[in-house]
Amino acid sequence: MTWGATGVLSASVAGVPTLTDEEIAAGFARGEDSALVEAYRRWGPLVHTLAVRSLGDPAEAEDVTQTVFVSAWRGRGTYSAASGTLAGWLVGITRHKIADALAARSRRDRSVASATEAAAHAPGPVSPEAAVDRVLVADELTTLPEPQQQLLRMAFYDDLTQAQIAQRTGLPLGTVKSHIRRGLQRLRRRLEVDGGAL
Amino acid sequence: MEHCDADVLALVALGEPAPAPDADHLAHCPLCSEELESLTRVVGAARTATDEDLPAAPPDRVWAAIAGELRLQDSGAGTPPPPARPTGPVGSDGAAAPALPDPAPVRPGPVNGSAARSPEHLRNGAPPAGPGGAVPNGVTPHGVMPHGAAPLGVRRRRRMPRWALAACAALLGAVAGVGATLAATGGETPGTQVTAKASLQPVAVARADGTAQLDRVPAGSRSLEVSVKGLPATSGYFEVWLMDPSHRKLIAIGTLGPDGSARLTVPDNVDLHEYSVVDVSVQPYNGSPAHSGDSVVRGPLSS
Repeated sequence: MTWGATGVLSASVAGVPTLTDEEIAAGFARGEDSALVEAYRRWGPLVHTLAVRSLGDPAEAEDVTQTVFVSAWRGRGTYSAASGTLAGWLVGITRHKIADALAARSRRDRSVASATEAAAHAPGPVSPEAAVDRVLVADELTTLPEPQQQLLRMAFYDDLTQAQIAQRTGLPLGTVKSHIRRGLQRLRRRLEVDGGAL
Repeated sequence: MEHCDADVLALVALGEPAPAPDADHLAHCPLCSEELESLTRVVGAARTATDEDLPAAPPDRVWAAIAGELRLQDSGAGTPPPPARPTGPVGSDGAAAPALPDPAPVRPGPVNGSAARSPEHLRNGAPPAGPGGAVPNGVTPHGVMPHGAAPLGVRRRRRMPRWALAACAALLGAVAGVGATLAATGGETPGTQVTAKASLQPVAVARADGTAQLDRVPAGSRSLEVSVKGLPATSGYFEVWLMDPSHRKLIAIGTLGPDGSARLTVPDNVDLHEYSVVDVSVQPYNGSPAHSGDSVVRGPLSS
């Protein structure tokens, strides 16, 4: 038995329905502990992965994840649903904490003044900005409906032209084009909504 | 000329050449250039993303530290209230799915199978290693997979990184495993026996997931027990399908009950080596027997 999802099996028995993002956000703003639990369950992976991919250091990323949720909970009075999604707000806080961690790291490196230490913490080849884009786009791509998702994967990763995609799938070219356009626009919207510019 | 058509900008963002009039226009129009730039940013992010960019849950100790720092009591953080179902149509945030006027799926058809065989193999691949289902300790009444933990492959072929090869290998292994098990249980087996299972991962609805389990009873008939949670609200119904890995050949085997589960008979002559993927779609009541193209969850059967 190499089937690796026993957790899903046991979890599926109850068939518990899911809170909407808005319901979680409202509960969060009201200070309900259960909403914090739900927010962590839903967006903890996003926050954590943003930190991991931006910082490249698992321990630092865990610290950032913890700090983000602690700060968010303590500062929940400043969250307003009118000005954006809770996910976007959390991503914004995450970006601040990542920037703080990077600043602390460079201070540390300067004070230690050790070449090896500095090399160990050299920033990755990508900016945190690009890391955030990739995590959000990768996440959103997995939520796109079919066949939009499959067509976009073909365009992104198989390097197929839209005409080739139409040929291979048997879908009319116009249909392929409109799915790809809509898919791209939805990915972009995710960057705009949850990108939480610094 | 008028501004570039949105389809053309999408085309160019993906690296295809612009038709000459559009190329000229793009060179001079700040509005269209800006639009193109934002789409190009999306394409660049998607093409450089790997599975490591898919949100994965932090280790349990992170929640423990948060709960500790905030002095949350297990009882205080207790059971979330009975949640309401999302009210929108398919698509957890209701953003794009409802706007799909033509959800034509990739249907079984005359297209040769090998051409598009690869596109969705990896999405059914092995879950990434690491702390997958970490949920807050002691305060969660049900261990729902965290949002975004779906082990979906983001990249394929060309730039296929190591994890992708691993996922392919795992899938091949899983399919081979079904074959072996079915062969092994093909004879007179006393008692009902579980011969294969599938973990159903979200397709269009991020927070839906479920399981499928293939049972064989002594008489030899096979049944598939399917259970899905996090189903979107719908005015239609949920259909269970067996698909081949290229998602081109489909067999509808029944519908889910109101509780999101069903035990369905698998016809004797269906070859589960070939139809090795379980899919659940949301179907409108429009009289069409075809797959709507809106899959909710999907997963490969493996022993």
